[in-house]
Order: sequence, then structure tokens, then C-alpha cells
Amino acid sequence: MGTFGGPTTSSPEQKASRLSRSAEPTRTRSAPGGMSRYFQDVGAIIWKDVISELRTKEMLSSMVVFAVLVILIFNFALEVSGVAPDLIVPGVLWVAITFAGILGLNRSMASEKDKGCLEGLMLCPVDRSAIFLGKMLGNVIFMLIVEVVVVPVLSVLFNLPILMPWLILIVVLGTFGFATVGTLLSTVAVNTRTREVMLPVLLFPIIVPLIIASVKATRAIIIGQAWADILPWLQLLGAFDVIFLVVCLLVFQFVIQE
Amino acid sequence: MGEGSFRISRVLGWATLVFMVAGLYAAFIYAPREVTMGDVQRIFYFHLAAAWLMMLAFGVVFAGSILYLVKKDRKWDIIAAASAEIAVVFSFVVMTTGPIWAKSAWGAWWTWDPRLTSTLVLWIVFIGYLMLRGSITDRSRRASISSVYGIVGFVDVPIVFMSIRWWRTIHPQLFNGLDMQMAPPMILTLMVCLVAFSLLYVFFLLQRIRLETMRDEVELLKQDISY
Amino acid sequence: MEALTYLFAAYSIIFLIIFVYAYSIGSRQKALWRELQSLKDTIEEEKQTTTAQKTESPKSSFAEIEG
Repeated sequence: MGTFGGPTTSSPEQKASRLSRSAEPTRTRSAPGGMSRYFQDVGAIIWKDVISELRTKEMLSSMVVFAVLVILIFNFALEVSGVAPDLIVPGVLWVAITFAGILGLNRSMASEKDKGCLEGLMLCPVDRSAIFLGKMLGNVIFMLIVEVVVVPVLSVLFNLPILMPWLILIVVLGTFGFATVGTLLSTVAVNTRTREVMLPVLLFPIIVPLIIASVKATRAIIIGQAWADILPWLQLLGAFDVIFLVVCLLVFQFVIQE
Repeated sequence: MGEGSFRISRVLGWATLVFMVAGLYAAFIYAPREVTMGDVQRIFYFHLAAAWLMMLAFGVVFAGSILYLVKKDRKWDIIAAASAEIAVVFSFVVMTTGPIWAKSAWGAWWTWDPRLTSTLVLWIVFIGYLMLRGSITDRSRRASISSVYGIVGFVDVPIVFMSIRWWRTIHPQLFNGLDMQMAPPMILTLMVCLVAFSLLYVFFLLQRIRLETMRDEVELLKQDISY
Repeated sequence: MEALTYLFAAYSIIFLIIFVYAYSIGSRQKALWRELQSLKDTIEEEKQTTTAQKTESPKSSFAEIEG
């Protein structure tokens, strides 16, 4: 990500032109210096998303507000006061992350599709998997920004100190896996007639293991369980992330082809 | 569809019927009464056979999806689509007979047991698959996109199973369904049922493929007329 | 006795689902077959009308689009 050291004031259009220029000489990844070009392309796609989001901040603000609202609703729905907070906070945290994530994924892909950006990206001489990685890491960044707000809010509202270094690892791993499958399936969903409705229907059953592992690991961290109890869940999260990253990189090209 | 394949499916239909009747006879009369669970255990033969059919059908969806993406031959997409529908129908069979058996043998309709829960998740994934197919109009786009979801959904199955097994270890294990002593007649009965359901699967698959090719033909003719 | 009720319920459900599914495939096939036949008929009619240079063919709805 250190590749875009240029002036931070440059517009997305300039960045996009840089993207196509930088990618032109090498189409294949195996060429000498191809690897760094590849990551330059990925960086450019992430940068494009970040810049255009920073202009409007529409998506981020709605995601944050939505996540906080989910926490609020859960507070009333579960009548939290009587129950030990460590039993519900992990669940509430991951439901809020998941719902806000769905909102962001739908938004990010729908705007790509509607503005014709996806076609534009496909015209660029960039490897298809670089497009996937760029979109996916962009989604990871947006979700992490939301989580930076949501976790402290949750901690304050439920009077539970959950800001721990290991929790950050779990949240990052969970978000990574969610964004991996989510980016692929949101690209699938924009191709359907029902679009926004389709994404949760397709995504939720797939991420069942991810949610189980994240909630269990979060809870184990909060109540201070032994390392041996946390490790299997971290392994499961890692395995989910790696397996689906490989699968998604392999199949993404078939989703966006015309 | 030629005359030959019509004859094949007719023969297959009769063979399926014969094995089904044999399976019923074996399950109800030939197989001895299970000692601890009694007659309810007789659900097991058809339940397991349906579960086998379901796994076979999901496997075919996975294989068909990969083959479609590699070869781009519409045939594989039709096979995957046909198999997915059959798989969803038979997961429903599995998930209704399972709880009935569980209720009578252990007193609870549903437990969040790994096998049950992963079947439920798998079922929902492939209902999503069918919905996805239904909401894409363009034929080749529908084929490649649903192939992608078929692959992702199938890859998810072992991970779901593992995660739920670990998740369950914290709670008490209510029962372990397949830990029973199988007498030779019971094994034979099970074999007959497995053959019957395999034949049933092939029969349904051929009919369902026929349906899909007819639908293609209709679409083609409609295009001919409108031009 | 209660066990037998469960057994009976399970097997009736299995066969009910199998027969309903078989029926649904059968009826869908039948509907498509009918549609296929009517489409073929329409095409035949189209051919006849175009070769005979007839301008009106009241039975075919597609002839209106052509005209």
C-alpha cells in the first residue's frame, strides 16, 4: 500500500489513469516485476474506492448509524439489564458487524454497477483477481472503520471492557473472511433481478462457520478463557479466510465476465 | 429426447419401483427389530438412503458446476440445476424424517447436532442457489454465476460441519445417531434401500434434464418466431 | 404403539414428497410439451401463410406482429 506515495490531493480520475498506465506493460503476473505491478493495481483500486467514499462519506456514515441502531435494538429486544453482558455482547457485536457489512457490500457493488465502473475496470488491462483483491480490501477497510466506532460504543453501552489486543485480531480475521465471501457474493447479487435482497440470502448461510468462530472467540476473550480454548476458533477463522480467499480468487473471473 | 433414452428411463422407472418395494419389504418385515430403539429404528433405512441421495445430488451439483466453468458446455449447467432441485427436495425428506425419529427415540424434535445443523445450512444454501437461478434472465450468465455459487456452497459444507462440531462440544452431546449394532440382515436392508434411492436419483435426474432441454427448445422456438 | 405412529408418519411423508415431486416434474413436462407443440404448429402455420401469400391468419397471434 506504500505504492501510492503521490500527492494526496489527486482526484480518482488521475488515479484511474495511473492505474491503466501502470498496468499496461505487463498483463501476466509471472513477468519480472509483475508482482509489484500487480499489487500496485490492487492498491489503485482500493485507493479509487477510498477517495470516492471520502468525498461523500455516504456509505460509511450509514453503516455506522445502522450498526449503532442494531446495538440499540438488541438492547431493548433482549432486555439486557438482568443478564450477564458477556453472554450477549459477542453476539450483538457480530450481528451489528454483519448487518452493517451487508449494507456496505450492497452499496459498494451497486454503485460500481450503476455507474458502469465495473465495465471500466474490466477494460483495464488488470488481472481479474487484482480487481477482486482491490474491491475486497476496500470493503475490509470500510468495515474496519465502522468497527473502530462500533466496538467502543458497545463497550460503553454494555459497561464491558472489550477493547483488548486479541479482540482486534479476531475482529480483523472475521472481517477479512466476511469481506472475502461478501465481495464475491455481492458481485453475484448485482447480476440478479432482486439484487439487495439476494445478498443476505446467499451470504448468511455461507458465513455460518465464520460467525460461530468469531462469536465463540470473542466470548472466550471477554471472559478471559485459557489460550487453549481460544486457539481452535482462531484456527477456524484463519482456515475459513484462507480457503475462501483461494476459492474466490479462482472463481471471481467467471462472475464478472460479459 | 430420442426413442432410446425414453426406453431407458422407462426401464429405470420400473427398476426403481421394484427396488423401492423390496426396500419397503426389507425395512418393515425382513429386518429384525432393533433391540434398544424398537420399531422406530426402521425409519433409519429410508432416512439414511435419502441422506445418501442428498449427498450424491449435492456432489453432482459441485462437479457439474466445476465442469461447466472449465468446459463452458451448457450440458453441465443443466445437470447441476437438475441435481440441485432434487437435492433440495431430498434434504427436505431427510429433515422431516430425522426429527420424527429423534422425537420418538430421544424425546426431542430437534437438537443442534452437527449432522442436523449442517444439513439445515446446506439446505438453505441450495435453496439460495435455486433462487439465484430464478433471478438471472440471461442464460449463459445464469450458468456461470450459479456455478460459482454452487462451488462456494459446497466448499462451505465441511467447514460448517467442523465448526458446529466444535461449537457443540461445549454443550452435552445428546445422542450419537449411528452408533448402533447392525446385524447382517439390517446391513442387507440398508444396501437395498441405498440402491433403490440411487436408482430413484438417476430416474429423477433424467426426467429433470429432459424438462430442462424441453425448456431450452421452447425458448429457442420463441426466439425463432419473434425474429 | 406410539412408535408405530411415528414410523407410519415418517414413511408416509417420504412417499408423499417423492410422489408430489414426481407429479410436479410430470406436470411441468406436460405443460412444456404442449407449449412446444403449439409453437411448432404456429411455425407451420407461419410457413404456410407466407408461402401462400395470405395476409390474414386468424388463429395465429404472431401473425399480427408480422403484419
